[in-house]
Amino acid sequence: MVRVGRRATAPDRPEPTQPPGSTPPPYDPTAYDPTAYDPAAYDPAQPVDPVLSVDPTAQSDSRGCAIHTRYAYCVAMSVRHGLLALLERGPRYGYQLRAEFERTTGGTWPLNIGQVYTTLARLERDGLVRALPENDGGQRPYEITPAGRAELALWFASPIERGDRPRDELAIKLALALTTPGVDVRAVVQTQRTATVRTLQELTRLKGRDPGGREDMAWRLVLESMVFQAEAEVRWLDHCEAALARFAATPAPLDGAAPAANLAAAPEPELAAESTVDGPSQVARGTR
Amino acid sequence: MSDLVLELRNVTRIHGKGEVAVHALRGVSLQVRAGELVAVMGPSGSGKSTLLNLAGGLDAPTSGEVVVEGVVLGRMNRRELAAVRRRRVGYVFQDLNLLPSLTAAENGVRLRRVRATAMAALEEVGLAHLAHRFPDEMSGGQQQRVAIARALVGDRRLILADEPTGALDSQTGEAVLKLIRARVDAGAAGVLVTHEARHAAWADRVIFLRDGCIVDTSGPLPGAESLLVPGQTG
Repeated sequence: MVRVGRRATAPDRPEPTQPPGSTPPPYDPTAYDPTAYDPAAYDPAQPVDPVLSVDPTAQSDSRGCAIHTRYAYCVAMSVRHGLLALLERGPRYGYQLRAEFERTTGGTWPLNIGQVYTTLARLERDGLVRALPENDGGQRPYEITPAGRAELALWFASPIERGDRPRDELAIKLALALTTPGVDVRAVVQTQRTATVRTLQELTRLKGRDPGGREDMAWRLVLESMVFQAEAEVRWLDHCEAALARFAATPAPLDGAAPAANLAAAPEPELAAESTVDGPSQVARGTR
Repeated sequence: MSDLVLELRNVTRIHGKGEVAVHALRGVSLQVRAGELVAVMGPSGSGKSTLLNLAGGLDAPTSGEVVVEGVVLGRMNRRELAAVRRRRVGYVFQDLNLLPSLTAAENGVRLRRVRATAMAALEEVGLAHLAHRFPDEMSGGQQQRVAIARALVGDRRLILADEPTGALDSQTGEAVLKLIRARVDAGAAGVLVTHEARHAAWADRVIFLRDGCIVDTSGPLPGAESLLVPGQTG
């Protein structure tokens, strides 16, 4: 019997970076070095991380949908189980699997063929699929095993735990923006909100047509999931902005911190006057 | 001929005077063309509704100009202004503003001779069969669609919607937005005030108001501009 409430096993998941038993170092905002990241060091030719399972160079799919990195991890597990679900329909080879996976998700989660074969190899290693003899065209189909079927059933029966999702980079970024001197937090919020609303606009355009068949409906539900998540992000950003405005309006606490310092685009002059650092004018990116 | 339907030129609106003066809008400029739907987002008190009221001639700017189809509203007398509001501008409000003692068709238009126009508008929103019902005989979604039909009656080129999805559920709200979108696609200009990003996403352009100023639009992102100011880090 399937035990609901516990997620499926996930041998593909990355090992935690912290060794077991050790405690993470205390948070130190001063340790943040914005110059440490070197975009030039990024090499798109490097193999794609099979765990993340999303091609980082794929900024848009055939329908012109911008891909949001926060969905990457969801795809990681979805690819594994997605392939199992497709194989449950019958034996398939790599390119077929890729095409069907993308059709189901409406191309919002593009896969490269390398990811499909890497995942198939792992599934085979774990005894969840079995390779069949090559066909006349030289393609090797795979079929699902009873163990694979059980794994799939367990996946469908188990909720996805919040804790299994990636840490939210945006939340971390805002926390760092607030505690790093010289960052205009309101500009960070506004930049993100504009980008997220733009994503929402694209998603809305994509779902403009009415669903036809079952696959259309599946694709539409995937899109709407992205719509709701993006909307939640905008609402959270609105909340952050309001909370920061209230925070900036309160007197500075005794520890000498300057609440208004990072809230550079403070609307009222009297807010600016409260700033105990060099003043908002030096950190403000200003309104566009 | 310009396809500019609505233009706000450096519009400022100050409510009250002296110490109690409230700057609802500060030097806002905005252009909305035919076939374009612009959504306005922003926190409460950011000036969203003031902007909409000015655009529809329901309020007058303290300074600056509001131009609807090439006509500066500030230069009109009250009668001319009323005619513009009646014939060229369609309003959709959150609280519907349907008259309870009139049927759907009568709410659409209260003059017998243009009853056919009202019926056409009701047909456009898929409610012709409810033309003879009174507002309290219809669901919230149906009432809102009647309100939209009213905004679409005749050849109105400017649709102004203030939180038109109000308390409607997500499916009904979406249907309402599709109607506005369809009318805009057919050549009208639309301004949609909303605090819900999901609804704003139906627009071609989303502008963000804060403290009476436009702080951003969902146009293309600026270049790789650093949010960190040199000399302030570390």
